[in-house]
Amino acid sequence: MKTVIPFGPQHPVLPEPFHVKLHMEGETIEGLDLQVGYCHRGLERIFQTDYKKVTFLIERICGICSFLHTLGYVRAVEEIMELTVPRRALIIRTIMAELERIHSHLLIIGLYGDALGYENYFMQSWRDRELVMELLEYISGNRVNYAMNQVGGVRRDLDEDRVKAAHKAIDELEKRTGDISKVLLNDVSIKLRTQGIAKLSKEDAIALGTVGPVARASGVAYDVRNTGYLIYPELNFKPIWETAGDNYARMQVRIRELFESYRMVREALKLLETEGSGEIMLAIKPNQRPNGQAFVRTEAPRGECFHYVKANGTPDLERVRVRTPTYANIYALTKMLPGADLADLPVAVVTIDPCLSCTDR
Amino acid sequence: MLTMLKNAILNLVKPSATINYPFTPIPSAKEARGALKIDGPLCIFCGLCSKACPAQAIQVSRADKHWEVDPYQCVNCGACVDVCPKKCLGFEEKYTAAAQKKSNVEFNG
Repeated sequence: MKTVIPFGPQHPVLPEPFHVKLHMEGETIEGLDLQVGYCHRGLERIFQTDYKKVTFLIERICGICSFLHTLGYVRAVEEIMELTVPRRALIIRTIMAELERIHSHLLIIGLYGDALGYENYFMQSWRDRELVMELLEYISGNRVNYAMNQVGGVRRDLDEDRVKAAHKAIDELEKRTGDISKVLLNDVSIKLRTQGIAKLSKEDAIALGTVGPVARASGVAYDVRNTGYLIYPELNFKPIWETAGDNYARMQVRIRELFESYRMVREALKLLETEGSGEIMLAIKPNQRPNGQAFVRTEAPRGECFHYVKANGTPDLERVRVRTPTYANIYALTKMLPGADLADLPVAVVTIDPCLSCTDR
Repeated sequence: MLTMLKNAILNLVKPSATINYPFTPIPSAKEARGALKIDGPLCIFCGLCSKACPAQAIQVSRADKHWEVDPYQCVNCGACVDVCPKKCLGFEEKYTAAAQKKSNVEFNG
């Protein structure tokens, strides 16, 4: 019997508010209509203000990838103003960006366990996430919305104590992630619920323009960190990808990315130690203002994030445009879900790691 | 499977991972941005902090020698601390507790 089920925007199993109209044939999903836009706050209009203030406002787009939004924005403004950021600031930015990826991935791994009905797993994962949250608070002064970036550099330096604390936290996290990943990748009941379900083929992944772990799990080895911004080329970064394209592969990519991030944070911390203290912020004169436009790409935990900035020589910006990874990824659900059971919907939604406050802004 | 079982059994004997808030205060990190504070006598009421604030939380009047911040509008970014010429602004490491009545933090010179 054919039925249509409205799903969301408020629903206990949905992590984020979006609406899905499910066309069902019995228990099987035949097709779905997606609708986003329930979190619109008009932030892009608010960004048409002093370019220095926007750094603090733009990180309020999203609580999880708040550093990446400031990173994309300051990179765009620095490109317009033709500034060369001090090397130490670039290393600190890389460390922050990778720590943020670690906390975002641990969060979604916990939610994945929750969607599968494995509450214990969710609690373990989020307890481990506290380690990196506390480290971020120690480094930046706040658990989220770090206010670390400013046009021309970073606002806080990593002293010896903080580098030591970071090494300690990363060692502990790597050990605990080893435990978590064993369960996620080897448990028979988890495999039964995730392998071969909600598949996204490589062709569809490219045609829909998916980014981040969703694309990489379908065999598209595409990672913006490869384009060589910050100090990624020095850290020998290589994109991590799988070919299966199902729920299992998408989480496998995230787990493997966690270990890659631990390695990169360690190497970046060593660079900080060996190179000694240095300048972290360029002095910008009050009459030095951006004039022109720039367009940069940054790899957020969820995928590629675009930032476009247009300035006209006054302190106030003319336009700031953000295209977030979830906007590219969420329509992959329309190709993934047909043929799957209704009970697989929450798990499939979690594996694309949606963030609607980013998407709607 | 056995990894999680080991964890589950250990959790029975380990101390609690959460804090008994509000009876036990939350430990704050060193130099955390908890709440904005002002070292009053140093302030010259120049108004730079008010201009730099992205949330329009600070009001300064040079004529009345009055400085005021709305702690509920403040986003704890520290833009005002960076621009203060007398370095009289700073942050308390402790986060502000929930309040029943909203009131601004004021200072008169």
